[in-house]
Amino acid sequence: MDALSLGIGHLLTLPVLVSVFAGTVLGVIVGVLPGLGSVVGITMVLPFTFTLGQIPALALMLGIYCGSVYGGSISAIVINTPGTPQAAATALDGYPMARRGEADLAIGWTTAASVIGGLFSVAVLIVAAPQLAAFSLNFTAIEYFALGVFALICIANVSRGAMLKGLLSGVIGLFVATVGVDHVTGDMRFTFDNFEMTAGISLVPAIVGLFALSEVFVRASETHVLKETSMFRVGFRLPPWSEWKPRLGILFKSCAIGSFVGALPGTGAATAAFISYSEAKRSSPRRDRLGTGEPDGLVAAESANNAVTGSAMVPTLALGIPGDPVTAVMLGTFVVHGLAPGPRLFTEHLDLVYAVFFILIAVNLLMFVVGAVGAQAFTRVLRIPEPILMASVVVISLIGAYGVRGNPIDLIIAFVFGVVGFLFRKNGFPLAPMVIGMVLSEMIENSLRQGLLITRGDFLAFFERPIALALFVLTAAILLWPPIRWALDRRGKANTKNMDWTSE
Amino acid sequence: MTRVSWTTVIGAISLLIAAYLFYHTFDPVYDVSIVTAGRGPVFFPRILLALMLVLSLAVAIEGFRLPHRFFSGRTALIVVSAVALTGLYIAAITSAGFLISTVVYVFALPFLLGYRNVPVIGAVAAIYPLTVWYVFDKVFLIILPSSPWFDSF
Repeated sequence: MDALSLGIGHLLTLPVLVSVFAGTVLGVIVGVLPGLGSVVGITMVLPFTFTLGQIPALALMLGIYCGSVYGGSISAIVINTPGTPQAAATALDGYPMARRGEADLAIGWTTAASVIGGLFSVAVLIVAAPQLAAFSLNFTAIEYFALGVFALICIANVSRGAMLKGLLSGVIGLFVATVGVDHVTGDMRFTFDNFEMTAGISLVPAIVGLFALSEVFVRASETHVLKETSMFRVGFRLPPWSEWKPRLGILFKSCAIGSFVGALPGTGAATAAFISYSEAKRSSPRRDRLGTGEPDGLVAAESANNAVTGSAMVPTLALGIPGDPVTAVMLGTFVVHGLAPGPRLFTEHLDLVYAVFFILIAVNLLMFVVGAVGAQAFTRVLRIPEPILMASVVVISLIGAYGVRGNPIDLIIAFVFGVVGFLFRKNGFPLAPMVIGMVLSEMIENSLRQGLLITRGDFLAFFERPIALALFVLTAAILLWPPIRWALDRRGKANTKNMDWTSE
Repeated sequence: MTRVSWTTVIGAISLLIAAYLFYHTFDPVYDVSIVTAGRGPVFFPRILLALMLVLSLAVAIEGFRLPHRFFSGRTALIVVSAVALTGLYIAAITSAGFLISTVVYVFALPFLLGYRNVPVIGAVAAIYPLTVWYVFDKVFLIILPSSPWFDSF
């Protein structure tokens, strides 16, 4: 049987179909609840995946991922509070529509746009991932080293005005992952004769701490009051074709923007949604009405943020390099389930890759049904008292941290990372570089050491390989651009000051 | 007296940790792999720690330009209490068992965060931990830490 048929066969089993359904519904619920987001959602279902097979576990996580990106739009429309940062742009037009009594229509627009965006990005994934994987078969350790450094620098650089903090966060992540056994020599590193530390610092407890526990501490530091949800009639009404027709250009342009942005390291769905919204504001014939409840804004934001979901999986699946914390967590969970994303996945387990494609298609189609049938029910979860919700999140996430290895030290690791995550978030240190650093550390270290073996210890020889050289040049440009821009800004200001002086 | 920002404090702590660990990489225990032509177990960590030293120092200096802004009064008390309660909960999971410690935590955390509807908290604290424990420990067979005082949980 060929891989394609096997892939469909994987999808059409009861455990996978149940996981797709449960993941999508839970994902939408997690998305609706402000502040939880995709990472916390995936972390919360981790303990459930331990007892599932590889493919049902993947289906559950992919359902959570796509569902949560969509679910954030419901609370953005109903209570003007985006459930996830990805849905922030949706609130700009969704809430005014709800105030006009068109919450059901707004949910109809966002649901349809989300599904189309999601399916578009799956198509991008199906086309691009195998090509990228095939191309990367030419990579040696040197190219992988350059690629790992490039991805990390991109992510560290995304936080504007906090590049130093982003870089420090990334380097800490890289270092933390070196604790434990050195896989090359077998020596212990930084374990200080503590037996429990010999297994190193696992990614899952660190993520539980950085995202789930720190979220609870951050909430404790804020007076976060949710508004009542009963003010609007919530339901689902699909806009007629005549309304869609003039917006098809914006729809497909936004899908393309989302898919492109999603494949870049360190960007993510929130960035895609805002870029797309800005583009709609620039080019839409109805741009004057944007911000006042114009469906163009909903179409642009929602199709773009959902178009990220599939394309963000392109580097994750093809190269084993995650582009954001969500795909990093998913990558970590793939590894827990004995899967190693990268080019070899496409040659050795092509049926699994096809299964991922079909699962994503199924999740996106199901999202439409779930949104149409359950929109009203989902808003009810907003009535759960937040303090009770937070306690539940801590408990279930800690089971996720403990369940990977059954090692009590993982609970302590989660707690330490929770405190670190809280202090970092409160002081503008981005967490994404730390997570990506932890994921990429082993690859960067191994490829550096292998590369030095290939070049007989000559690091300068790394620059003789064209792809690696291109990546190093890009990395240097990303690193050097902020100080150059700062210098140019200063010079510009000085010139303006001089001109003011002379004109006086 | 000028109060330093938390960014400077974090940078300084990171600097101290990086300095200690960098010094630690010269421990004779790592010399056993000297046959690896200088690329032994601490080759990569040493590069990272050197970078961490430089970046921590830069962040600490950058923090001097930032205003001192954190919590004060009641908020600080709530945050510290929430952190301490979660720390105690984690310690209690391994000593008193998952179920007992979770019942106490699920009751105490919402109360601490300002939710005072005791019947609701009580009901949730009774039902939720029991359900979670039963599902994971008995159905999914993810064996959670048990109490030293009872046989079954």
